[in-house]
Amino acid sequence: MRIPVREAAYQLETRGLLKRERHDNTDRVIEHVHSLLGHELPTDLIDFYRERIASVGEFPSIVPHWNERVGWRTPNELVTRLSHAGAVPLFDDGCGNLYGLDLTLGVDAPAVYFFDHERSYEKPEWAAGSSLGAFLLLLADNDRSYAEHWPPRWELTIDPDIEKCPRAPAIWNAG
Amino acid sequence: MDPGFAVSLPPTSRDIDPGFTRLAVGPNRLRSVGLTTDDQSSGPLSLASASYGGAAYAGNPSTTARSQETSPLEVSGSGPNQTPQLVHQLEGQLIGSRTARFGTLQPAGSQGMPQASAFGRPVRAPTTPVATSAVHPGHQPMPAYQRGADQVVAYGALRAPALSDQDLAELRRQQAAFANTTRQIDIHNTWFAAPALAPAVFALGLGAAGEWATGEVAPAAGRAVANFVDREAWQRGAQKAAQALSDAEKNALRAAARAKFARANGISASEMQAEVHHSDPLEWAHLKPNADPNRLANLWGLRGEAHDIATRAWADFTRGLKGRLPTQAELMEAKLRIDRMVEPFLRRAGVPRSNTPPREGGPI
Repeated sequence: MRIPVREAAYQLETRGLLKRERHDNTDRVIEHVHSLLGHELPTDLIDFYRERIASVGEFPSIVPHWNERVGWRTPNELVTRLSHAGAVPLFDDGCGNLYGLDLTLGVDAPAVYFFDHERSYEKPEWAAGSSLGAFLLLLADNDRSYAEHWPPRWELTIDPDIEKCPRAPAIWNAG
Repeated sequence: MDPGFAVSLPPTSRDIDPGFTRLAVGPNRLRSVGLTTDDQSSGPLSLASASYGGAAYAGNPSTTARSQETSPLEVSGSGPNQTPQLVHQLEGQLIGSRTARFGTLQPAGSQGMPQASAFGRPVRAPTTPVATSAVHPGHQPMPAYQRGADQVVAYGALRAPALSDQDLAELRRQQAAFANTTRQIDIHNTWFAAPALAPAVFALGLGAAGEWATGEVAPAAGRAVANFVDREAWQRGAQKAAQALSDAEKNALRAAARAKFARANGISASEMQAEVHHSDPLEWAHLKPNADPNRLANLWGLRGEAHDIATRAWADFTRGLKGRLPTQAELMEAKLRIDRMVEPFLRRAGVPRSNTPPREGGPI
């Protein structure tokens, strides 16, 4: 079940868990990221940039910031930090780790994976969502699940395909 | 000698036995010898070998006459010198054996010999010229030891008879006997050293026993006891089964860390434009099983750039391990070192954000 990014953003905004950027630099951001990564961007990633998502819950998004006076303020290195792993960063978990969208070519609905900074973002550690839309919903409830002691594998209720991600298992199946 | 002060001892006195005299048998050595009864007619003092209270130049008629004038038992308290003095045989000038006598030495001048000193104490100057040092004029040369018929050791004006081979042999024997006695006493008293040496012996014994039990020749169990690296806290007993934190556990710990950091500061890390940095990484949290990874002291608020500095330093540390587990000491050393690197960029609630780290890849 694929959850469109726009639908997920709308749900989260309705719940008050999503904040958007005030300025719309979507076209500039897409062009900039495209130039940095060197290949076409997935549709979900373009949709993600068009939603101008600033943060979901406590998790800030990683989107290049444009300033009319000084240009791009976000270091290019931040955008390409996961290039060696074939991903592009979407969110920061607040502890230095990154959620990255899979950039493997030929995939219609790329999954989102977790990259551990203590392991130098070496490889995807576990699957954070089978799609970008599902991932946004899961991310918004992440802290709440721990605070309210949700049962294990609660993610399956939101994203039944999370265990089918090709590059990494779900978090409960990870090491 | 003043005859008025001379006291004639009774013949029965035992202080001085007229039947014996002293013979100089070596330096500072006197030997009592009995007088021969053949010369009893001439009296003890007429003996050529001993003279008490008078001149001792045997062979000199005047000396003999003088010695006959004084009783050997006459002791004067006011005499110039009543201490025993050796009269050595000087290169054939004395006749008879070396003797000791009490009383005043006969002035050498009266004997036709050169006068050496006149400080109220007549001494006899050597008949042979005394050699002087060419280097230090006026100084006496080193004693000249002459072994031979005369056997005299000379040191300036001093003369001493040399020891004969028999005397030297006797001296060596006595020295050997003394050394042997001293050694026997030392051996007998060796047990006195036991209290002082006991602690050292005990410690050495423990070390030797430990080496024997855990050394290379010891069984595997013994060597395992001495392998302290493998017996660190996380590898001991039941804790040896402790594994690294799972991804789910780490994720839960990170969520708890963000909440704890926000409660402690009254503001979340994201609102401080910071990230929660675990000073002791979660990657190695299982190596410190008794330490809470989310203890407040372990949660630092750092900007992303500063957090990247710590991340790279920890990555270097991990690569340096080459796949092995670090020790707690290594972890602590790395933690303290990396903490010093990022401490200037620490974010604190209510503190102006003037501690912005350098840009990515710039100098620290």
